[in-house]
Amino acid sequence: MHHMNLDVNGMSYPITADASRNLLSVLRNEVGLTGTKEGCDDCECGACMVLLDGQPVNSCSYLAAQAEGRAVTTIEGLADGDDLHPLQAKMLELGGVQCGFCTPGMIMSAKALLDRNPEPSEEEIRIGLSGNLCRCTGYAKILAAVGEAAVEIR
Amino acid sequence: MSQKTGTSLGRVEDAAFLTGRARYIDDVRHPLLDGAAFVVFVRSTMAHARLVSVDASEAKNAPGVLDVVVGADHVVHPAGPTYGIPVGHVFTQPVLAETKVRYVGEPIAVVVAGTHQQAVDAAELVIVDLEPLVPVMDFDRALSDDVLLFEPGDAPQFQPSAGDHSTDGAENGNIAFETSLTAGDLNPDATVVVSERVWNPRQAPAPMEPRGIATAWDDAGDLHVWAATQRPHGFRAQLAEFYELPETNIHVIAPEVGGAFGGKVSRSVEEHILPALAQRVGRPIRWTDTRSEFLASGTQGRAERYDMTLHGTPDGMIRGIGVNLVKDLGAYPGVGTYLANGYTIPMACGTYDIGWVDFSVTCIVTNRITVGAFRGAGRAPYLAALERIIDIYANDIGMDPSDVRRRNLIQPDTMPVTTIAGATYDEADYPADLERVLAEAGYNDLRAEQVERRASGAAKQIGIGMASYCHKTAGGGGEEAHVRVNPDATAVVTTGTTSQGHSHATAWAQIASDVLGIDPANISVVEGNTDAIASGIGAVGSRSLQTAGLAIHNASTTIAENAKQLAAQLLEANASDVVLDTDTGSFHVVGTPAISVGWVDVAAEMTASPADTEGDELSCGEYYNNEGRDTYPSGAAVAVVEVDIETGHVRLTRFVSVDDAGIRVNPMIVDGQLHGGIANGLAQVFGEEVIYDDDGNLLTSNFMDYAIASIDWFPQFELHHAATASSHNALGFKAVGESGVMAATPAMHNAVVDALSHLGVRHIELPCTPERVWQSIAATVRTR
Repeated sequence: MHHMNLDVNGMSYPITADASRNLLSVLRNEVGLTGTKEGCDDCECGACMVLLDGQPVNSCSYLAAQAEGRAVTTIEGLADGDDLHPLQAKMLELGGVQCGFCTPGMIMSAKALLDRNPEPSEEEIRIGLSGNLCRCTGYAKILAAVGEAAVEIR
Repeated sequence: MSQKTGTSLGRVEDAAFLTGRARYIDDVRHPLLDGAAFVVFVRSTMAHARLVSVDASEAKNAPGVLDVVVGADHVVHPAGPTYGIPVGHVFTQPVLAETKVRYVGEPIAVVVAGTHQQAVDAAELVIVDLEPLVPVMDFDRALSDDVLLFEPGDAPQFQPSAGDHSTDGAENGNIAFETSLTAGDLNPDATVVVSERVWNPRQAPAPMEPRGIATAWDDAGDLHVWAATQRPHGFRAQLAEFYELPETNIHVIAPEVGGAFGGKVSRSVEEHILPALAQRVGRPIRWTDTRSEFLASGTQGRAERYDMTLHGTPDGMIRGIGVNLVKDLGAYPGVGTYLANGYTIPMACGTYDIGWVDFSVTCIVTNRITVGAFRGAGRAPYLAALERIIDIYANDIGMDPSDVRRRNLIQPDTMPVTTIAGATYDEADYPADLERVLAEAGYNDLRAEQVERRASGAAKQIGIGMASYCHKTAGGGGEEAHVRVNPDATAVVTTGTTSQGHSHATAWAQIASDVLGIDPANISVVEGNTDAIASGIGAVGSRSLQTAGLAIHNASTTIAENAKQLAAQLLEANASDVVLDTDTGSFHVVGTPAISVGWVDVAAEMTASPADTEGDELSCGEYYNNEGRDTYPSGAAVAVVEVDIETGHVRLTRFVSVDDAGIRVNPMIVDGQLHGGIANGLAQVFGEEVIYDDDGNLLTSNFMDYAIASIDWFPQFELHHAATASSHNALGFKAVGESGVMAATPAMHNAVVDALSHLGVRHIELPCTPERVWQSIAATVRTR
């Protein structure tokens, strides 16, 4: 068993877990934040996307132990109390959510994109979100929401 | 507060989804599930084999293992095809394989252990001896009966007491079910006969959340099941039958469900056995399948081969349609079997006025996964074949495909109309939808551009495709709803249908709000809980709005009428003079809005005068039965593609549609449903296909190999709307969940072929992968 301190959404969590455990499993089962989803366990769908020091990472394929000493941001860390982050607010306003299962990962990828590129073109949004699959929406309203959120954040 | 129906309200359920608070099956925590054990299935590695032996002795002694169960243990009755599906008893899938395995991934044994990893490790120790049989993968081989999947006496020995066991069903070899319809008269002026074989390849529903179940028995002997399911009540009914328990002792909850698309109808053997395992080990059980496991053992859809024959006149009048459909049911007939009579044959005419139909369906078994439902099931594949043969006919007689459709579409002044296939279409204007989509797309300009491009000899040629559609929804039956207004003027709507991304919480609140005058934000919706409401069918076949939506409206109306009685007492007026102002949610006497009472006053009046009243006037349950008055959402689409004739690469440059979903409760939600359906339909042209090799191995078992659409496949869709009220229900509702699929596949498919028609290409099989497109071009070059 491995002892580690994970910094998740600005809180420090002392964790004891097998060194082979992936970050997704530890976030969901040890930290208790279940917003991050497992859709494929194979880096193909992006439902498990979290930010590590601001960079998007598929947490299903990243060891929890590797995240020690780095800042982990999950979907639970995005809103400021009851105030939704502009990405969340625009997804709601424009109808970017249907079943919601891909939504947390999609938003984390979008956050990483906008943090490094505040004025993305539609093409750049498509590239930034190409690691996140959604079966419900045909992506149309997600594209629109990310585009409008970028404007709002600027 | 203005009318809510027709308003694009943001979804009231979204805050939980957007902040990670929504609870799906793997997020459910409950005291009954504390200390849950985990299961792993041992699955067949062969498509067709005799099961010689299963040795679980080593696995049983592995660390953490609580139980290992094999087919011979007969722990629970199987869910046979006898349950509402007219096929022989022999085709029943045993819960765990008994004498043969018939698809790669079929469960043979199941390991129960304290942790998931222990179960995985122990499953590796189960020794399965399989003696290979010849796999039946090819449709014609299946039809030839040279190798049989089921022989007389192959039915599982362990059967439930209910159901008809009198027929074995093996006498027809690999044909599990046949049906046909011949109707009308073929006009002798139909001198042009055009034929083509059109395949509609297998697809996997592939929702982003896999299947999952958590189950436990309580101290009183009641069974509790949390399941990612589209059908909590239907699942409960099955469990009641297999476990021989009254339904009232079974409690099924569907938490948030991460998409379904027909893939979560809960008829799989994996789902049925879990309560038995929980009983055996005396602990709760949790199971969530992996992505690969879901793709290799969940149900799939489509898998249909159409031999289409169109009879028409030389000047474009379609007189008759001949259809010979061979449908692959997979190894064990399931829900897919029901679709032929229930959904496919009724759609024989599409949106056209056709005088003669000759439709035969042969449902075969092959060594693949069971075919169940997938968005558009039973309708989309046929409409895709019909729209394809119409384009081939247009090409053969040298007429523009838009003109052929113009000449044959059903006219609006005849509607509602019963076609010779027996379907009664409700109000719509198919010709107007076609004209509008052609105009919005700029059809004539597109054709002119195509002529120029062809003349230039450019490598990138453009193709324009179109399709018209209507499709059967609701499929008979009804739904129950319960509405209650609370003393604090909030309301609760409970229904037996379920939402897996369908936005019911918002749409139901809008419908109730329009009657009650209560803000949608103050109306909560309860679904997916068998304890909350007595009956339910669920979200299958685009049916919730026209059934549950009506029940909610009717229950709300009853409450509003009751509330007027109570308000009349407070206002010291006759109830017939009291009106409910739905803008403000207040009651007043006609003509004197200044003196009013609200829902809080009315609720207080109800509880204050129990002697006079039942005390539940603000609570009402309604069952709405559509009595077979199905609704047929419709529309038309134009797709524009650019095909590189040197590489076969296809790029979709535009997709324009006009869709008539009837009265729209929330246009934003309607658009979202259409977008998703369109993406599903287009993906089938781009490359989405379940592929097995000749030995029956699944080659598309993950999202690298099974190509669902990603965000860079499509341009922005251009949506336009008609909104013709249906007379088949009082609110004019139709449906929208599956509509996007219907025209998307054939419009883009027609566009790809159209881009190459000047080269002599007549048809290309789906999906139109670059290789297949290039081969089609090369074949015409060789023959020229």
